[in-house]
Amino acid sequence: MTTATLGQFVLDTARSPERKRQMPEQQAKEVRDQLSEQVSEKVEELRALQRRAYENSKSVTVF
Amino acid sequence: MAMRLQIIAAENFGEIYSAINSELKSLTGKESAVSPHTQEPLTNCCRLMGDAGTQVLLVQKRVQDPDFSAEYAAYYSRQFSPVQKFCTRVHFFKNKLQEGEAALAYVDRISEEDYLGFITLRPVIKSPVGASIINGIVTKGFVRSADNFPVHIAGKSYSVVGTPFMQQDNAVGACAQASIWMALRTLRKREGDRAHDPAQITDAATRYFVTGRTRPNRQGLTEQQMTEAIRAAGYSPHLIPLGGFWYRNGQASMTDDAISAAIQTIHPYVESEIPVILILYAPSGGHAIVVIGHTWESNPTARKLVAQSSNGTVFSFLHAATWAPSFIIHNDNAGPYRLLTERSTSEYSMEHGASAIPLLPTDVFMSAEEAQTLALALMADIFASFVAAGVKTAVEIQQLTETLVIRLSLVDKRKLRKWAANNEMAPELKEEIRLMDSPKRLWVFELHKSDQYGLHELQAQKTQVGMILIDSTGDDLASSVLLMHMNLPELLAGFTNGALVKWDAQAGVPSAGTKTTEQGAICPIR
Repeated sequence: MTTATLGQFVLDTARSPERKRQMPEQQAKEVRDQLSEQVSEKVEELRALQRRAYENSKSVTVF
Repeated sequence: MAMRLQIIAAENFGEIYSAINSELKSLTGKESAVSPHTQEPLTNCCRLMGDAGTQVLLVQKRVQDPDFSAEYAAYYSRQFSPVQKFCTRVHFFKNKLQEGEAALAYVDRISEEDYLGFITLRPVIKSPVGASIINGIVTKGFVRSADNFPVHIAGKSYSVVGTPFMQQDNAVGACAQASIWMALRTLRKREGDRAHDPAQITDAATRYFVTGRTRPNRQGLTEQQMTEAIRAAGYSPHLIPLGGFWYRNGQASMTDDAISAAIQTIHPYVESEIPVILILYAPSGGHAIVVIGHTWESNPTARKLVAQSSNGTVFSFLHAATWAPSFIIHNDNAGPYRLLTERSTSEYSMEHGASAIPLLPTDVFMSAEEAQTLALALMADIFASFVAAGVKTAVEIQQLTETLVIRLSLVDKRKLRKWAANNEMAPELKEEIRLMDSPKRLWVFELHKSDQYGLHELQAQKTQVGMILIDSTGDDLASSVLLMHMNLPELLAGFTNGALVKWDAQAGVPSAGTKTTEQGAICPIR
């Protein structure tokens, strides 16, 4: 399960007898894809608000 | 002709105010009562300087102030009624004047520590406060957007650490231009010499979007014109809506939750030493101010921030803005170093915040909101996986995250490396930060223990137990993490080592893990 992959890698690294460890390529891609899926909706919300702010910017006057 | 340099002993607000009003009258030929509603910034400057322990005013006459010279060329030189082209500059010192001491003798005797800054008096009674810099020590809290400005008086050099202030002169600009000027002048030294005078700001703002007369500029600017002026000065104006366009929905002000969210949105930029222009929609009309810092509350009420892991577990963290109850602002129509509280019946307040415009460097493509979304998602997954791995129960981990503080700021790589070089931390982390390839600026997401966090007011505390470094030029968020450090011995019982994970910058995926030899919690970057 990807949720556990990065956290498990952190735990395993801290407990490892080795100083350095490499994350397998496939697992690394899964972590990225999962993260991408997790943030995409929120980022799209932020960017939609941003677009609305620019549309709105013509009518907000400060003096 | 009066002496160019005059010295006056003035030890309290009343004496300072009286002396400055006398100078203003001699400069303009008018009494301040001619325009009583525009004297508040000057009065508040005098009050600040009185409270700061001023003992002496050094009055510099016939000053050719570059900003007023530009206003003069653009407007006042065309008026029939004569207006002087020179300003008067009043310098403030906290060393007492000795009996019979002349101005030069005083200047030669005192040290740089005695200097508190200056106010430039325009020869215009309705907007007397021109380009001025008052030392930030006059206010409590953290003035984050400030710089060290050299000042030369009669062959002696001083410096003042503060944030430039100016009252609007609506011959050439309104609060919008004054706010942009203050933000640009603050960044001038740090980001390169791109500070425009108020007349140039108006010209840049109205180059493509003209809504009326530009001289005099009494109708102000639209947000669109403001962003254009900022862009023309070489910055990236990131326009952030606050409170979900509450003013379009018939609301009188933001809800408490929206105020809290707005504060958390602005906080990372303020911590990044980036001036934030804040647009307020108060009952009196639209107004612009500049947020330059924040106050500090050691025992605050919790301002929580929620993150959800990919398996749906919800974690709460404390936002660093919890300890920053009010922002410190420059409000051109009230004065420098004012407080912006959440709500107020007598002053501008956060409840009327409509949008924020941090002046981002042009090479920063990722916003703080995006960087925080990314870092929180990562943190939530990490903590969820601690539960999945059986290190702690879900309840125990949720209790743990509720005691952790998150803080986000944009940091220059040189500052980050200097911090790593000079602070005690795991040697593996120190080495990685000092040697890694890095963009010019990074979003630094810090994780802190909250028990000592309130003590940062007095001096930096060792509270940091985790961090994520994010590429601020990144566009694909999930591929923009550069490094993550977790100080596990400080977070979870039973661990003797921590871990850092480095991302492959090209592939945008986590690649190498390093076991870290932790030295305890770390002092964060300030």
